[in-house]
Amino acid sequence: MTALTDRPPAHPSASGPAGQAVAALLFVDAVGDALITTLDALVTGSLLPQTLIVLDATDGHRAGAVCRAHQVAREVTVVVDEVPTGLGARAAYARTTGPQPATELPSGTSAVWLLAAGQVPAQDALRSLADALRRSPSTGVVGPKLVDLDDPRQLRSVGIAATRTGRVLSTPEPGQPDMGQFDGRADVLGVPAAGLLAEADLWTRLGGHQPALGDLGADLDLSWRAHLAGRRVLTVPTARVAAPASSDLAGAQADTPARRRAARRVALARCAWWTAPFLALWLALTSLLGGLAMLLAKRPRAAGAEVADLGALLDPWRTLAARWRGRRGTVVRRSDLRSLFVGPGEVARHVGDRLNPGQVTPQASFDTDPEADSLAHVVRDDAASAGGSLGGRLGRNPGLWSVLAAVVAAGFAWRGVVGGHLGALRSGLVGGQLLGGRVTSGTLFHDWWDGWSGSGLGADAPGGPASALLAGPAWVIAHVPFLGVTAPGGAAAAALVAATVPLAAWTAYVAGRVVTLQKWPRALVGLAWAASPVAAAAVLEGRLAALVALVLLPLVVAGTARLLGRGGRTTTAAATGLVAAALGAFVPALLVVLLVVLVAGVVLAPGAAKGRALLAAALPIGLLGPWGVDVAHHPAELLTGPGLLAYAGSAPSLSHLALLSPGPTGHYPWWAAAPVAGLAVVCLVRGRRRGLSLTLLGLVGVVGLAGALAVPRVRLGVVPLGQSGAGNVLVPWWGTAMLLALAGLLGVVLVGLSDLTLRRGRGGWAAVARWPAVAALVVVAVGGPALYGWGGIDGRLRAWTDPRPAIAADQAGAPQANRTLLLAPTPAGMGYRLVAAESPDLSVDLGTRGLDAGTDDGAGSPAAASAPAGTSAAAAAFTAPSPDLAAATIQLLLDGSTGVSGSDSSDAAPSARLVDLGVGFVGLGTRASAAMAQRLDATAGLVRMGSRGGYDYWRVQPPIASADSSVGAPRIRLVAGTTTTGVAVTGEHGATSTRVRAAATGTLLVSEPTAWVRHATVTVDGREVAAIGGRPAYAIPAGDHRLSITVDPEQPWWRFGQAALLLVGLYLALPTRRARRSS
Amino acid sequence: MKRPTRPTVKRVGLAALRAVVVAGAAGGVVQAAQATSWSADLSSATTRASAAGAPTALTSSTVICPGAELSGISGVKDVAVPAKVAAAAAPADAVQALLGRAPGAGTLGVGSVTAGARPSASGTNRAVVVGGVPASGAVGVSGAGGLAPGVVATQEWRVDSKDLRGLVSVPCGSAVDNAWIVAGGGDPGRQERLVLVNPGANVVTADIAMYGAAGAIVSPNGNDVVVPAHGRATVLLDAISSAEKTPVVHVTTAGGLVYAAVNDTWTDGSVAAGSDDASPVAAPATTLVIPAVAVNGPTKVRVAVPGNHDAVVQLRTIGPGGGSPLPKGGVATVKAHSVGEFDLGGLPAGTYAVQVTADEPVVAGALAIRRASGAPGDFAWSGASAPISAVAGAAFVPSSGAGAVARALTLVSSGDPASAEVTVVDASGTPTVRNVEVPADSTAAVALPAGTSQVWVRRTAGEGALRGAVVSTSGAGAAQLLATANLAPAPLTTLTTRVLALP
Repeated sequence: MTALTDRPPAHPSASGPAGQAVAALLFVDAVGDALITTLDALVTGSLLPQTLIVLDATDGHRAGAVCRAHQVAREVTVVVDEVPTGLGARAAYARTTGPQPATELPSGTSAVWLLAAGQVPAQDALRSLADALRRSPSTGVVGPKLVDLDDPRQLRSVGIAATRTGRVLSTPEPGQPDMGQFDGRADVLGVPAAGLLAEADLWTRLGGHQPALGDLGADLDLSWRAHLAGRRVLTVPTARVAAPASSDLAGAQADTPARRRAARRVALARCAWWTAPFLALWLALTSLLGGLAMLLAKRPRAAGAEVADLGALLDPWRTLAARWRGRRGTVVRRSDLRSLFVGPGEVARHVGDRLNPGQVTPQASFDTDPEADSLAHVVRDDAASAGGSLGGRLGRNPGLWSVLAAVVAAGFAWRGVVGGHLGALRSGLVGGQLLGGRVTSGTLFHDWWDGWSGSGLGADAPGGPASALLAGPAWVIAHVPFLGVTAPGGAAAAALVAATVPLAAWTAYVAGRVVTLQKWPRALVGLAWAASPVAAAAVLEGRLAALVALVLLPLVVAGTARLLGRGGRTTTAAATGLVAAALGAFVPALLVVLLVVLVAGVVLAPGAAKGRALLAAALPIGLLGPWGVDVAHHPAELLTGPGLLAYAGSAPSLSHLALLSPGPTGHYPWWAAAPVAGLAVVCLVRGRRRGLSLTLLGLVGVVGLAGALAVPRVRLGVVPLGQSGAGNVLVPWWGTAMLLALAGLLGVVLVGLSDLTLRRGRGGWAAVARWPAVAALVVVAVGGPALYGWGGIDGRLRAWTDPRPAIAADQAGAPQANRTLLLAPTPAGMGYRLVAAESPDLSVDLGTRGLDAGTDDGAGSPAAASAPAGTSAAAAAFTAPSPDLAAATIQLLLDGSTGVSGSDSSDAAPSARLVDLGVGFVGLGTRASAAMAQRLDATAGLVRMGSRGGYDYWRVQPPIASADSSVGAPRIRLVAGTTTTGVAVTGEHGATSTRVRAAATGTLLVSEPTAWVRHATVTVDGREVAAIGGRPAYAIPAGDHRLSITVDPEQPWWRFGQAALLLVGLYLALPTRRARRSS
Repeated sequence: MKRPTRPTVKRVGLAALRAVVVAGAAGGVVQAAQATSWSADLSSATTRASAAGAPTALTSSTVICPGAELSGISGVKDVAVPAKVAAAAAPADAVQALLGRAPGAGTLGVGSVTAGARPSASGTNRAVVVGGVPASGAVGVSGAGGLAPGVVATQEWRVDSKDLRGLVSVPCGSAVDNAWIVAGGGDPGRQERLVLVNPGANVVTADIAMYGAAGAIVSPNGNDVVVPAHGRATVLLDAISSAEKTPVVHVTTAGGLVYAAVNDTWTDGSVAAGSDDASPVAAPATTLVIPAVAVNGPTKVRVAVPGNHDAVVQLRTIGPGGGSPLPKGGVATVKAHSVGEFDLGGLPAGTYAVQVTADEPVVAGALAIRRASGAPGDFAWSGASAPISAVAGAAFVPSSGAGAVARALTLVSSGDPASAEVTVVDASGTPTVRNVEVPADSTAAVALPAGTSQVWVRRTAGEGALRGAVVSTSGAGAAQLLATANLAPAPLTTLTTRVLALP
């Protein structure tokens, strides 16, 4: 029994003060103790209702008899209304209203009080309510403070709080202790039906609840209509009514999707008609954003509930019906209700509380990951565990010091660049394995996304995912203010080269937490990793993929160890899978090693670790998608990556390789990594509980060592004629395998030296015996950065500059999008390179892209340029670009002959060929003979411009009438009759969206290879146009048209699937708040 | 002393075993690498063929003829000449012998070099194509397809009037960026016109330098001569130096290539003393051969030293019987940047080849004069030429009957003997083929019948440097009209540049 009826009645009376006559509407759906409890509470109240109208919905309608038999019948008039069984409480209450009510209210009734069997009003509840109703004539509806029947200290509701859009806020939260914190509330938007006291006239006029709006919705709607009728709705905290937890009459929380939607419908039904569309729009927007926020907060149910609010918009007839039913009685402006709605600040606070559930309610915290182990948490925990102020904690953080040491070393190493060539940060670097180039984030992204990719003429295959991964940093660096980046892709690569050592020190430090929480060993090992000889070699030689491995490999190793262990979490597995995908995009070989380990984990690991290993393996496989298949198809690609090629002849001797020396590197002696190997052997002797870890890490080192010894014997190809180092045998860079070996050895060292007692006082002489090992680690950790900084980059890397004149570089972009043909004489012949806006390779790579498909299927070659019957003259004269056409054109330029015997190739002038190739500018290396330059001078359609960057330049006169004498030939042109016009290109590889005007039926000629046609979709005014004869020529009817050319992904469903998988992976990898059980 | 417990012993033992296993595995890997010579080759899928350069048959060829030389100078009265251009492609047999296949069909056209001009005459077989020249402008001869390999052309005119007299026969040639022309003189009434033809589509700027007996002649008038696209510019060399008695002209270009020739016309008082065109001579070298100098009167060899060092120059004549020194020794020192002349006047009448050797690179040309004192006359310039590498030839407008031009081919082989296949095509297009053996440092004369329209020489054997020229004459004695035209090289193939794609 509740404590609400513990006081005896004091002056009970049947009528309220000042002539108030209250009719209590008691809904009964079952006869039992609950009804008796309610009747007992009624009769002991300090104010008795004048009439008790029993709405008897029980089977057999026995409630009336019970009520009449109860002592309440001696105090008040009991009227029984036999309500159809199954009718809801609110519908039953409404039987007393309307033109022909089922039950007439007694004459003189000034107020109706809604009750239901099981509800227990406090002794003075009705008096307090009636007083509140009487106190102000404008008050029309009052509601009590509703508490839990079983535990009256817990609140059920103190009015209904909602925003203008119908978002109901749970204040108080269900179960929140009643400490009087809501007793200051008075005017509210709505009150629940339980214990509601309404002025009888208003009740009649409003027609009671509209059950079609649900329970909470109907309650909110009734109050809302009361407000619109010009009456106040108050909550009276001094009036307490206890209601059972199962009663839907006392709830003020939108804790089910149906209630949320119902509240939204009320908002839509009660707003001004002209604001309804905007409100609906806003509702949709906030629901989606709210859902997204909840999703990001890893609250999928809450996200689903948010999004489910959209359902309120899907059945507008219900809203319209409610609006129709409540169309009359509005006497106040809706804007006057502004103060009743919950403001944005409170909504934000409420959402914040939900996103931070650990501080809200105890049960909410169970949704969170109890042992999230993200990197951010690691850092935060490290800082937090140090104690003291933030500055003090950071000052005592060895991890920070190790990173700072690496920054100082890197800064010193790059002193020449920073001092003299700051341009490296604007245009990127060239030298070593870096090629440089004007690369943007857009070109990088399209290089991966589009089915047709690559620089020059492009290749019939998408680029590797490394391009897509570089696109993000390139975009960021392009938007750094005041930097003036001219080649964001190159600048991003340069930033990576410069920042690798500090980043690697940091990631190694963080990853070491898997082994030990001790910071100094991790910091020392991190430095030893980041400034190792192989790391310095990777930096000095600009080996992009190796730099990525330096940064990511520690995280992958640590994540793999964690996810396969007992403390692993799904978050760890997802994060490891994502990082592994990034690593695999640059260094596929390391991903293969990881996949082997993960597959072994799937087979051998216990319990949930199998699933985590599966997730970590599936993510990179799915994310790398078809590219992985291509790589597997070319084993040579599997062993390389951007910047991971080397000459077989430059491989160190076997003994040097065995000591992990990558070759001459700055001031590093060849034995610089030997102390690490020695330390690892010593640490292997350490036993105790980590024997398995030591053994596995040691074997990882052996595998890496075996790889380093083997790869110099794997022939990948020969440097082609004309290129630097022609004739040299190409092999994979052995440093990649060395990184794996070093990771294993440093792991052994970290395991071996962690958690050891070094003080003699505690560890005895055994502790003293450990000092030399620690000293050796310190020497390695300090010596590496010192050698790296001292040696510097040694002039091997320098800022890249575009050899093209500014006008050529400018016209490579929209709208001309033309190419520049650079001719560079080599001892083996004339080397050529077609430079366009499309992304060139930033780093030396094996270049098997499109090797199978081929960029030239023969149709584009001069010998096979015959056009099918029925094509236009322009299409017939057009030769699709191809490497053969480029070679023939160059021979035609330089020799006066194409070298193609028996062909009709001589029919076309060289300049026409250049136009077909989309070449707007020709650059001839100044080392070429004067005769060659003279030939170009004498070539029709070439206009000499000047010299820049070691090249003499000519402009290819476009076949278009242009007032601008500086315009080169365009990538796309429209030939209509005798008129040729350039067509603006807005995207990559001829993709565009523009308007064209053809005076007569014309032909659109796109300077792309024939195979490009398979990847391109050309539409004119929305209708797809077929290529003429399979070549990139399209018929354009006369008139003004909307032209669209898109270069589609090779497997769109893969691409979108990858995007979805990435989102899922990111979602799973999102760190969640570490649960802290509230006291 | 504390005895180790059994768990401690076990732990230490396991640790030692672990170290041994891992270190042993590492050592084993190193040992295996030392012991084996294992290797793998994954290069099959990564090699991409590059476009290889190789000699290939020409599919188009163009030679340039000067056009009407005596017109086109502003302020100077144009003199019309009845010039004709005869063009032909090498015989099919010769082409097939060298290319290994039949040349196929093609076209050969003669017309103005003006952009877009249609050929005034054309043919689709291997008969000579004869076209006229425009009143003012150059002529281009274009071969295409099967008629592109081995195209030669000769521009020729003959005038025997009171004011102008001469037989002018000049081989047409290619546009170049550097040309040496030996022609001209300082005699009163002598006028040299340098004709520059630009077949290209862009304006070309030419610099004209002149060398004389006293050294290089500096004149701003020779700088930056603009030759319009698809056009011609004619310059009077008198504007550079009118007094130089032994000029040698050097033409260099910027922004394109030009064909250059000098017309040398001499009116001695009121007597027409002759006219001839001089085409570019062989590039500076220490050994040069002028294949044919028709000596029958005053004859001189002019040698210029382009370099910075004086050159000791020696001349000798080469006749059917071999080489002979000049009567007066034929050795002299020519100063750097200067011109020297050697007199061949004491030689018996006949056609000789002249070999010039020097210790510094030189250029050389010869002048043969036919003129009695005070009477009308004529002269002919002949220059040193490059050896015939494959095929060389000449095309002529067939002439027969009274006043027909008589022609004779002279072949010279220097250094070693050489064998040649000589094809003479008559007016009807019928070829006659004969083999000619030319001994070392000797000449061989081949008479060309009247009406000869083409003459072709193809090397067949021997290591000697083979050269040839056709001496054309009309009349006899001191009043003879004379012209000498070196056989023009007729390239059949071109060594295409190897093109390599760069990353």
